[in-house]
Amino acid sequence: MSLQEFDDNARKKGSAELLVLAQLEGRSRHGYEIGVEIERRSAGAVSFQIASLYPVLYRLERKGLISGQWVEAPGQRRRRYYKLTPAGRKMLSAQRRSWSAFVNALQRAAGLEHA
Amino acid sequence: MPDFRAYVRQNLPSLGVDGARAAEVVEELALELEERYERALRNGLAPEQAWLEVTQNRSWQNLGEELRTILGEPPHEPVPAASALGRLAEEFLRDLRHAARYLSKSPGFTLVAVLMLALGIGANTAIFSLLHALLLRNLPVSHPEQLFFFGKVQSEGTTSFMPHGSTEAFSYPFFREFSRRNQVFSNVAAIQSYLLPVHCRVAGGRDIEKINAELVSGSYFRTLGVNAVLGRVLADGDDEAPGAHPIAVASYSWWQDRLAGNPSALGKTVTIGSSVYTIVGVAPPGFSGVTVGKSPNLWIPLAMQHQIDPDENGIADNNFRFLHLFARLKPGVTLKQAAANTDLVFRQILREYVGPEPSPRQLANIEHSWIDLTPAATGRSNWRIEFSEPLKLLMAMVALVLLIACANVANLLLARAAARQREIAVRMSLGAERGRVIRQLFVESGLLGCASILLGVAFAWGAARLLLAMVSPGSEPLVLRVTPDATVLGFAIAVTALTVLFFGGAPAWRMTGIDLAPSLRAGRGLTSAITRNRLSRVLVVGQVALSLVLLTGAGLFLRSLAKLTNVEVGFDKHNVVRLMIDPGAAGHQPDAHLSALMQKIEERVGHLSGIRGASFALSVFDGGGWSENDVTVPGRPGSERNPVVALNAVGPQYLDVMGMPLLLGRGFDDRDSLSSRKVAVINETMARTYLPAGTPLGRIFSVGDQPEGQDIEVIGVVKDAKYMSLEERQMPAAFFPYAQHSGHFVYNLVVRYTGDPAYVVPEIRQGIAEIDPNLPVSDVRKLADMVDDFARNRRAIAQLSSFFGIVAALLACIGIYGVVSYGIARRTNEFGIRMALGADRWNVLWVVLRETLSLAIAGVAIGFALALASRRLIQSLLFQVNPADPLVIAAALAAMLAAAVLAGYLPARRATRVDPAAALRSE
Repeated sequence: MSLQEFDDNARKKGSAELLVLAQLEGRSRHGYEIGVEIERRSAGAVSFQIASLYPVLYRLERKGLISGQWVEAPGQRRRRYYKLTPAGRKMLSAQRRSWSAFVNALQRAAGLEHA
Repeated sequence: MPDFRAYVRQNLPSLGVDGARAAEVVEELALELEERYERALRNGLAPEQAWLEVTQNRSWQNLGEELRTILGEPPHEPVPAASALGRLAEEFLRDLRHAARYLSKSPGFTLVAVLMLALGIGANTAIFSLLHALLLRNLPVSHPEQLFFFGKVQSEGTTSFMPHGSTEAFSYPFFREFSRRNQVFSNVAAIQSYLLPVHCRVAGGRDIEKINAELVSGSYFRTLGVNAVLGRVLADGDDEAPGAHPIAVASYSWWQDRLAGNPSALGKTVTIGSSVYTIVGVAPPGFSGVTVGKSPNLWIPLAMQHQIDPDENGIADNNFRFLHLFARLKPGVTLKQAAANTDLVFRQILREYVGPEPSPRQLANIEHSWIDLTPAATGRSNWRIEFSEPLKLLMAMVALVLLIACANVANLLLARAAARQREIAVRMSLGAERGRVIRQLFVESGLLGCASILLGVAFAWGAARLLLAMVSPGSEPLVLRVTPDATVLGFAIAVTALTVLFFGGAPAWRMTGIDLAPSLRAGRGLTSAITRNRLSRVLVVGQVALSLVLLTGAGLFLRSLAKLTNVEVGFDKHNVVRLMIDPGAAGHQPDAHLSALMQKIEERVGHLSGIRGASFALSVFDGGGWSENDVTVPGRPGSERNPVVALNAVGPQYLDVMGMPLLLGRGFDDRDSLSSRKVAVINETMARTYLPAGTPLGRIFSVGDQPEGQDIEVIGVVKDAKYMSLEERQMPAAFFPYAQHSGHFVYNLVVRYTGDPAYVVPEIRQGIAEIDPNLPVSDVRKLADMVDDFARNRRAIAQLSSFFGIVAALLACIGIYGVVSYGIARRTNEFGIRMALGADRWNVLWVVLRETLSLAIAGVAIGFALALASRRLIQSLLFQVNPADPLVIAAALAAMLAAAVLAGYLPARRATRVDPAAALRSE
């Protein structure tokens, strides 16, 4: 299955949030970089468009899970970099646990290994 | 590259958030599109294709709605309190680092601002530390607020006149009787009203030393709640039988300095006159009695009064009033109850003193006498009368200087604000809240304030000492602890905080209240420059006004000082030296034998080479005796309104030595002895007032009711002079030969010399020692210095007010310079256009100077009004000068205007050098 555009339902389930949070683990990134990184790690299977990425970013920021800051470097564009807050870090590990439990259950229940 | 910002702005529906946040979202989305566009180009797409790729299939409406929902939600704050605090600290540290970096980028500005503020804060702290030490600080005793003096305790000395009105001097028997009958105080204590300088030998040594002894009641330490750090303090039993307890308690500092802080000091002796006192204890550190500004070395029981001071024997005399009393209020007794009971007992005892048949006048006096219970928490000090007004005035002056300095720093910050306008506009457009930016600006101001307070307190430390030395008379140094303590530091911190609010507040408010769009577009805040300039001008006008007030004050004080130093004193103060002897310390009694000895000394010293004459005198221009309307002349009705007469007992050569010209009759000589007729030389005013008709020579008058004061014949009239201070109104005066009044010690020896006093004084000491080697000689001073001491206070005020006046004017000029320079920098192209259109340099100069002049004139007009309004405040500190002296005000106005024009002229000259072509190109 190729997911050219992450659909609304999935996003609402929170997997999009998990994906964004995961990209910010260990370093801060700006919005475009987050999208590119997701695409790279999923080998092009998952890609975000503007209309899907930024609402997620702003919601996470609003919830205090990530924080954005404008950074200006000589010779470069001013960019807004996002990083995990302590609460975001906690949320990331909690979501990872519940998603792997859910994926395991899905594999067993739906016999996905054999598909 | 296509303008994606414009594209996003066009397509994205309104988000319902503030402009700054919306701009941020637009910028971020546009950035994303830019990146994608560039990637498409890198992937080989043509620009049109890339544009299509990036912009196709966008559901802007949905995105807008979604973002509106998200951004409209209240921000989620799941962060626990502890880390919120941590975040605040983190932000603060970030602000601090930012501020430090920012200030270190412009060291010139930082240095000037810190110096100006440090000067202001330091001067305020220095004056306050003096004010605090002299007027406000509580005594280091237990519960000082419970202590009350009887009366206002402002005068020192002794009196035997009947109390009338508010009473503050009491006799020893009264103290004992009052203590016995008192019901409202838990303790009552008595101290001699004045500190007694005495000569002594310490621990059996040979050298005679001068120390300060304070006679106190046995209840003194108990009443204060002060205990000894070594040995014991005085107790009631030490103060019962006259002359029976020659013991002393040493002050901590004297014990440290003179006895090396050695515990074996207990039991050591101090010999004063013919009595030997044993040291029984040491008072705690920091305690120096209840007299602020003076520090006794020894406390001795009052019962030793006659032994310490042999020419006064007042311990048993109901009417010899030489004591100040203070008492501790009993718990639960109100001040009103205490005052009522005190007055009741006071009058009862006075009634008993006047005997069974009092005169109606005595009864009336008693009826109209009372005791004002005065809070004693801050101790007593007669310095206060002299210094509190000048210190308060100086405090006001330095507060103005600080205000001016603040205005200057505010102005500097405003000028820099223009340069920062874009930085701040960007930060605010990026969503930084106004409060956040204000906080950042305040952290910068606070950092300036911190640097200033450090420097200022260090400056105050030195300045307070310098001030103390400036106002403290040479003869009697003012002993005050002026090192900054908690209160003084608290004051400095409070002043600095206010300062930071003032100089940091206005610019911060102004800078953040900007219209973002034009600031961002133009790159500099043109719109707010106008308001900034208005605020700067207001500040400069205020500075000029306050400076004019200070300059006027300085001028008035200088003029007052000039008048005072030119006062006709009526004697020749030059080439006269005054020495003090202490006959009591050498074991002498005030009698004819001592008079003979004094005559020998006068003759011996008078015949030394380089000496023109020598004479003893009861007082030499620094106090002495005076009568209270009790000079009587036969045939002249007595009157309450008779002027007070200055009385002095002197040697035969006194008038010659002092250079007081004799106008009529003769001076004293060998004819005037104890057995001959009592004679006097009077001054012109005495002759005119008391002996108006005919020649005063041969006329008779009497002083008081003692036998030695009756039927005195006038043998000469001397020219009027000043006797106690430079500012006194002309007093009547009478001089008597001390040989005819041997009942009192006469301490002063005045000597007129030629040549170098450094050489003459050892000769005089030698001459005295040849007559009596035991006679202590001390306090050698030139008469000219003693006279100048009276102007010392006023000189200090004049010097300090001139200093602060000039500093203020200088600061105002810096302010003008800054505002004019800034204005010119902004109007460079305007000047360029003017000059291109044919204006010559003079036109341009005039345009700038006109602006300066308008600021200066507005300032001096307000300052003039302020100076006139505040003239009453300084009237009491001026000597023969009208506080609205037109000459002084005109000079101050002229000086301020000239300085202001100069400050404006320097930058204005720059404007005339503008190259029209360059100025126009720069636009």
